[in-house]
Amino acid sequence: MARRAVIVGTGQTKYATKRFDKSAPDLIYEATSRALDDAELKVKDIDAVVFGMAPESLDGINSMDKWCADAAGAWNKPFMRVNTGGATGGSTALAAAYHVTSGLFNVVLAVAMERVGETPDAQRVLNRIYDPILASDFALNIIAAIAMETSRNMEIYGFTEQHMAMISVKNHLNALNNPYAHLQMKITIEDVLKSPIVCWPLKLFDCCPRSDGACAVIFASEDRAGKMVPIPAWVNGMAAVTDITVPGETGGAGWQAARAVWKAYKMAGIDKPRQQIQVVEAYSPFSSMEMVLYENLGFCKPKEVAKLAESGFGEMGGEVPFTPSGGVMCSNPIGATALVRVAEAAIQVMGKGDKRQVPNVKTALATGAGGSPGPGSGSFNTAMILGREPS
Amino acid sequence: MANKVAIIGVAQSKYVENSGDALVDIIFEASAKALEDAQLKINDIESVTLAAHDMVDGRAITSMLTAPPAGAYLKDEIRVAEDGAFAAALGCLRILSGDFSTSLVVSWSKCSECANDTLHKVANLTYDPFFYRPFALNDVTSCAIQAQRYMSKYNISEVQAAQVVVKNRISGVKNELAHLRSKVTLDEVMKSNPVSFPLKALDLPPWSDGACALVLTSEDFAQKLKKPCAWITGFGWVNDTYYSGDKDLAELESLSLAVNQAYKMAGISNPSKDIDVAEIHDITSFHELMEYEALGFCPKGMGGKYLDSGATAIGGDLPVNPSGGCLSSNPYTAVGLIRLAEAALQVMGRAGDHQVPGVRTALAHGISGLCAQSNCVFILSK
Amino acid sequence: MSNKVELLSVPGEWSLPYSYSAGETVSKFLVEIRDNARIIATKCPQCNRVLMPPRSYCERCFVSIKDNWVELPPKGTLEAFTLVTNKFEGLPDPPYVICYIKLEGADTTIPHFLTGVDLSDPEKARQKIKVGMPIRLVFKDKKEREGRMTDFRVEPA
Repeated sequence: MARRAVIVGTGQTKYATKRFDKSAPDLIYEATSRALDDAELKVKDIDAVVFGMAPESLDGINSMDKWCADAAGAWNKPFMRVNTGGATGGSTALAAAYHVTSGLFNVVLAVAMERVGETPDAQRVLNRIYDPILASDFALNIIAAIAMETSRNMEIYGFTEQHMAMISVKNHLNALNNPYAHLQMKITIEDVLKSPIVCWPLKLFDCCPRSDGACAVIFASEDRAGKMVPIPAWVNGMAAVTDITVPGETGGAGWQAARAVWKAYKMAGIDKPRQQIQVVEAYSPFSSMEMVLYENLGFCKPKEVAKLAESGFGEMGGEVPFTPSGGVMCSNPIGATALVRVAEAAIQVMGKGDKRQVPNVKTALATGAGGSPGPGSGSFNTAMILGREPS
Repeated sequence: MANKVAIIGVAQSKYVENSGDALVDIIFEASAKALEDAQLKINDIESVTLAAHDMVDGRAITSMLTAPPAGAYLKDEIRVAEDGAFAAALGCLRILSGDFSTSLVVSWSKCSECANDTLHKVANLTYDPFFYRPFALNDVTSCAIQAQRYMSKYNISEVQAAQVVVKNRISGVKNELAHLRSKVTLDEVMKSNPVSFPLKALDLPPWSDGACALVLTSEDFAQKLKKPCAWITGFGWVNDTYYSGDKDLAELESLSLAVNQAYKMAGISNPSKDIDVAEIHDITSFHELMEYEALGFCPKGMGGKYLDSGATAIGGDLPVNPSGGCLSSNPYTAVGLIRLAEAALQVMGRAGDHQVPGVRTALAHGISGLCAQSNCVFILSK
Repeated sequence: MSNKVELLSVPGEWSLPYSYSAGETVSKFLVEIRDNARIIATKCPQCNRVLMPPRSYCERCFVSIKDNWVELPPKGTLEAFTLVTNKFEGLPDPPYVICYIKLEGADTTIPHFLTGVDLSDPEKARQKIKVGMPIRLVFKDKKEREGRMTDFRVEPA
């Protein structure tokens, strides 16, 4: 990496099913103001803004970014909006980082949001992401698509619905420590297994909620970093890979996190992720996906994932905590979600995690995933590695 | 600008009203042609930057289906939901970061797939549901209000705006890729169907199908390749306030701020003298006049008179839109990228029958958002 | 005294008509289904993958493949499935099964509904559906075929 970007502040709104109390620009204003406060900056210090938002049909306003740009401090500033489906927040972070590493901007705000609560049924909208001629007749939606992947993954990786329930319980427990989390409830394995089946094998508590909310992350150039905050989070590795996913071809994992993540590892000088990474804010909206990530991210072999889940590998206090924030399973404002992963990873590195802080974090990984398995369709994968020091 | 970015490959579709081809095929064709033009293979492309809108493509996450034909397989790809010029801007940033030597930039629209008024509906849906949407504001009606304000503030006439249409449509005849390739007379424009005062049917662009793709590279890469290219020597983009009621609609302030960024980087101090040709985003005939002023080609309020002087016609001091502009070809989202492509062709001497002689420096401009909310400008040189 | 403001919501509904062009390649595929009840796929001469659904270019090799057709038999395997028990707005009433099938000779899969399985007891039903199980295609009568993916159904073989 020729130049480096650092994260100097983050801000989030409380995530909820529907934020009746705030208009879309209000949510952006809240996240942006919180990030500015966190970084001890003013709006005039922001040189450019990158805005992330996923399918407009979820929010009911086309190009809602244009409406919200003012609330992100983007009046009379360079502004662009990114959309890569579920990976949007990750691509937003990458685009903002490139603004800085290009050498043309010193302080860039990445802000992302979604108002999934504006539509009564998100999956009805997500049915329209598939090929309109070849796939539209088959009632596909994200939950159905991931359910199909899961049916294969259970064969390939050897995990069961019981293991999936363990992951769900862990995440819901973690969310209790996160003041921003949408779902804050303690559940048991039995609760998960008894919850209504949505698309077998996914049950209600194996799935993420639909959330409204916004998140902001401020990137700065490395020479500014030292003057701004005592402990910034250094962007040591970043990458994105667009794949063409076809279930049955890719060995089951629809979202191929591995390629993007290993590119980022290489940039950051990581070759033993299990030893070198202390926390992972993984993009994992469904319980079954986290275990696939244990292997995808290089922490173990495929047939070992179930054992790792059983041993509490990803729990707080486990070997490598996954989603101390409660993760996507507890808050999913779709376009923002992957940026929330970056924000939470930065919070861990900067030591601002409070009740959800993992001890001694030197390096954190944030992943993002978007798109969906389908005929000839792309899936988007992002990865960002943050460190307490430049690598 | 410390390091320059090179445009080494350019490709465009033949723009038409209704292509009949699948959207993915139109995109593939333009992308593959751009690679061919750059004399590169897909493996030489290190990043892909796209511009597309879900609602315009009628696909809830369009890039799921449209990134693959745009060369994105296993590439570092980002899609912006902006006009194509903004994808080129992000592509430049990625190259300037040093992480990528090459970027394939692609944008498209297939307006024929949008039934009847779908795109006007989509524009209306861009407005906030509380204050603007209930009042029949869409792309046309909001531009009309802007045009009316401009007319009344600076005493611009409908005839002056109509002359923009005449000028651009004559230019379209010379561009073998243009959608509309027939002249129109002043009379025909003035008598065309009133749509939303002061905009008449011919003051507005057609709806077109088509895609445009560019290959951008770092300075090092281009110099090793030793291929003729167009150099990006300056660029800038700025976003204005969303609520058109907050600003003076007659002034395209964000365009002035954007172009000043670009001029500064490129070392341009006297635009009307330093720029040899400009490809700008004529979303309506009136907007082209407003853009002359915001770009500093002429003083404020003098856009109409500047056009009357003949300066922006073929053969004039500063020909504007020799390609025929958006008024001749309008694959909506891609228009700004097409302006950049055409400007690059001018600089490289490859604009065929619509080549302006002796071009050393060109300007390209694209608009994103309604009422010209966000503007992006590039300066290119030989 | 309460400072609470009454929070309002404003309704909206989108109805946006579109008409999607299948283009040459996909049209040829759909016409073949409609007129001859045959499945044809495109093959990439560089990577040799047989692609379903057919497309005019191979996105991996990034070459045009639109004239390279191969016929596939109306049978294959089920590669992934889900049994949907939740009613989603605008989508069919449950229960139903969506699956990805790989036709014999193809390297990629396509989505479809799985029919011919008794779904009255969903728990029992899904135990009968296995990843890898053989399936076959059953075409509608010619006069009912429209040139759509729904011109045939998929059932266990």
